[in-house]
Amino acid sequence: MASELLHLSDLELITAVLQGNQERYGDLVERYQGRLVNYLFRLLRNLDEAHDLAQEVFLKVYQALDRYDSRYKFSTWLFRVARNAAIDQIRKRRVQLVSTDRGGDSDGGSGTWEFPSPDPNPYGDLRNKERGEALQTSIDALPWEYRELILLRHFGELSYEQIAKLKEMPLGTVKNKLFRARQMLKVELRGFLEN
Amino acid sequence: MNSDDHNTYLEWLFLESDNLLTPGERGRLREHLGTCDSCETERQSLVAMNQILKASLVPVRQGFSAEVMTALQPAGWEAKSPRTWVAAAIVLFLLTIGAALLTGWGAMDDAPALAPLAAASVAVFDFLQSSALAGAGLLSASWRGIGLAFSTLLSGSPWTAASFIVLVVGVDLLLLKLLLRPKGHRDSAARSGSGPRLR
Repeated sequence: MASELLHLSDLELITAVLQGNQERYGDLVERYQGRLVNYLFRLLRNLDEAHDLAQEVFLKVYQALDRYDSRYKFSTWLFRVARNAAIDQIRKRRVQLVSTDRGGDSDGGSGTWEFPSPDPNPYGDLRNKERGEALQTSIDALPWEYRELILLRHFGELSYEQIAKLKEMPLGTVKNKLFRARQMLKVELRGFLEN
Repeated sequence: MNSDDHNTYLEWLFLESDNLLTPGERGRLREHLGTCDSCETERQSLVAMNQILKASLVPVRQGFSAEVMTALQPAGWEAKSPRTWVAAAIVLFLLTIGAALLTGWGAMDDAPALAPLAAASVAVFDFLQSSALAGAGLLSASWRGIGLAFSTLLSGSPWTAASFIVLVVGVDLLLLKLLLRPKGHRDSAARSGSGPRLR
């Protein structure tokens, strides 16, 4: 049964949900939860907030599922909703930051930058933490548009065509910008890449 | 080799990591990497960067999808789903069966002209017809009531009538303004609201 589900396309799952088989929505959630949470985590920089917002996005998409346009990929739609929700959240956070006039702690920098490490060696953990922090700092150093492309490609795992549709950009522009974005990221990370 | 070629190979390195090169291009790139140390170094750092990105993926918290499924609210579109009609059909069927039993017993004493199920169907039809007639009567009475209220209002003092007319015109203008809003406004409202829709 599980292997049969793996072969069902997003559209088939959506059709099943719309016909009253609500459990199939759980399969869609399972299929995209990792990509969505990771994408939102890198945007919001807080794992709990990323989970909460991912849940909100899945609920919102479910409510509007009958309006899904099958000419587009489900993932493009899902990530567009997620992107808008994340931007709204970041805006709200900025307003709160200004109104409370507090330092950088509302950035959600709660020590969540580490790589998940199977290494029991404390030096290994330290290295992972450093690398995790370096990656986030490097991503944050990119201009917003490039950063977004990196996140959609590497954490959302969207194809170039999907990113082009989501960003309403020509495919060639996406390729060029992604190329430049990755070169910039490589420069930012050079200390770690050389090791 | 000129710098344009070199830049093309650099670009191909990125495309290769996304599996977007044709077999021919891949072969040419491999050939080039065998002779160009700087491109080979670039390739290695690109591989390392991709590894760092992959290793940075965080696991989703346990039971996340179950949480989502528990939090699902009934959607508006579910009212249109076949399940709702199935429920209504079952109720109607049970009603008919119930009526069949009742009229069947009742009809035993009289001439059994109709079979119990047919008699039940007639009874249910009569019931629905009576309900429709009652509804129509109520509706017509309501309209008459509203008409009476209006005529009383308009035949009262001229100030009452004038304020009523101003109120009606104001509400009409407000509706018209909402309908004639520029499209961009409606889109941005939909975007920030709960209606995610692909253009």
